[in-house]
Amino acid sequence: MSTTAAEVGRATPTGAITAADLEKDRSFKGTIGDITSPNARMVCRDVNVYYGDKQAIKRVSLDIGKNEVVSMIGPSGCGKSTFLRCLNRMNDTIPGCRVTGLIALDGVDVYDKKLDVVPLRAQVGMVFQKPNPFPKSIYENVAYGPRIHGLTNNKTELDELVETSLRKAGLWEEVKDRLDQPGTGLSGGQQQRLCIARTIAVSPEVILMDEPCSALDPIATAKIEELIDELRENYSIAIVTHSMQQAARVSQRTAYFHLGDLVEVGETDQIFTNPQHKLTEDYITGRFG
Amino acid sequence: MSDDVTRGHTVRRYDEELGKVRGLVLEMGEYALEQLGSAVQALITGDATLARRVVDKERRLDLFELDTDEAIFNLIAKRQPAAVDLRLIIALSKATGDLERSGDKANQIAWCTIRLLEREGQQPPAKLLHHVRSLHGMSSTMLERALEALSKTDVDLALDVFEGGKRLDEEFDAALRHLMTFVMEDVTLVGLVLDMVFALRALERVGDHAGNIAEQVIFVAQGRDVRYQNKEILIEALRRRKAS
Repeated sequence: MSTTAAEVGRATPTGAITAADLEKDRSFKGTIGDITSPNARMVCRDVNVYYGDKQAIKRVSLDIGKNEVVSMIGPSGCGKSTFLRCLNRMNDTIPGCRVTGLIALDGVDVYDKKLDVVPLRAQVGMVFQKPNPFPKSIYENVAYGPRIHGLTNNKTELDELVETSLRKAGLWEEVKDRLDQPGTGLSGGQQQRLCIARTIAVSPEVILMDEPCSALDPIATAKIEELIDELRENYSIAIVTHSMQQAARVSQRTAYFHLGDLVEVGETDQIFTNPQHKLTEDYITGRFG
Repeated sequence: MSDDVTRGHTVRRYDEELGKVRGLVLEMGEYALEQLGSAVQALITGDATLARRVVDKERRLDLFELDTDEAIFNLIAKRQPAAVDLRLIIALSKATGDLERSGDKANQIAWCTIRLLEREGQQPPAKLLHHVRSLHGMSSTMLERALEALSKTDVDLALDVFEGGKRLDEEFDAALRHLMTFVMEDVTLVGLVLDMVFALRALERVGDHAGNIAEQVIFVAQGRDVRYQNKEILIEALRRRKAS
């Protein structure tokens, strides 16, 4: 049985997180807009990230809801990718990186020392800027995760899972006759969809995407965006993008980061038509100096 | 909002393009005001030649509308405006329609004059023309203020336009009552009075178009769509908000 984030509450350098703290955060003064989601899958409160002495993220609180796409936008160095990478502890691999605050997945603290990060990264999968298929066959790229996590009992089940994952990633029809060929032989857009299929194959709850289309042409980008819209039916998605049009097209909520602060969060329609903070407006209208 | 909303983009060409569209709309507004002034002058002075000139020049406003639409179309395609830029572009597009229709109203007044002078051989009596002067003064002031509000994104000026609209409606109602009395005294004047009603109605409609532009100014400045809202309540709410 899952617990709520409030029940998890743990000691951090900023003190124990309680239900009262979470309630208080609803009126968090630093961020304009409602940071909460009525169907939160991931709950982040007072998240700080430090690289050595430098603070990259400052008291960021944000929910990622079920069946929603949350886009994170902001200028280079604003902390959006850093924040995204906190959600499945990818920052653990960076020497000198320190994360404080609460990040909970379905009420479970993802920074609990007892938590194994391997299953966490299956639950919170990640797609990167540059497609990074394994130097293996298309089939093996998708089958690898389910095999090491023991998600299937036999070859037939594994075959079905590979096919289902490739179908969900919109790639099956293009690769079904060449599953034994190297994944690296696919086009950039196909490789990215293969990486998404690989992520889907281990049954994640949340998919993190860090500029997933920045290396793709407009047609491949459109296919990924269409895919994101379809994936939303089953997964929660957080996407970092430098393309504001992409954020406007694919997400239901948008969060604007600036110098490590979460300046504003709101419905995507509202953020792109009537942002409340001048920094947000300056950024999305191209007035950022 | 006192800053020029067209300025400040990293890509300066974008500033120029937004400024150009707004400039076109403001120029179109000046032209519509000029047409309205000429049409009213033709009616008051009984100048059929001037009225004909207004009709001939009406086409120019249509061309303004086409030019503005094209500039807006290109800007949306190239720049994908967002937030205040998007609101400004939408507002300018709507204002263009209102100005084109204001020009149509000048045209209608000019045709009333031509009908009165050339077909019926009548010039309206001075006591009726008084209403034309009055309504023209009010509606053209409203349109001037609406254009100034649009050029400066000035909410206070937009609120002045709404207030002017209320006075304009009252004046129009008073004028109609007077015209009814006039026609009851001499039913042979019904044709003249009808044309006068058309002309006064056209002036009242120009005030409505000015009000529409003022609504768009608030949309640009605050992102609030205030169309179809009770303007008295709106004026009070916005002034109270500003005071606090």
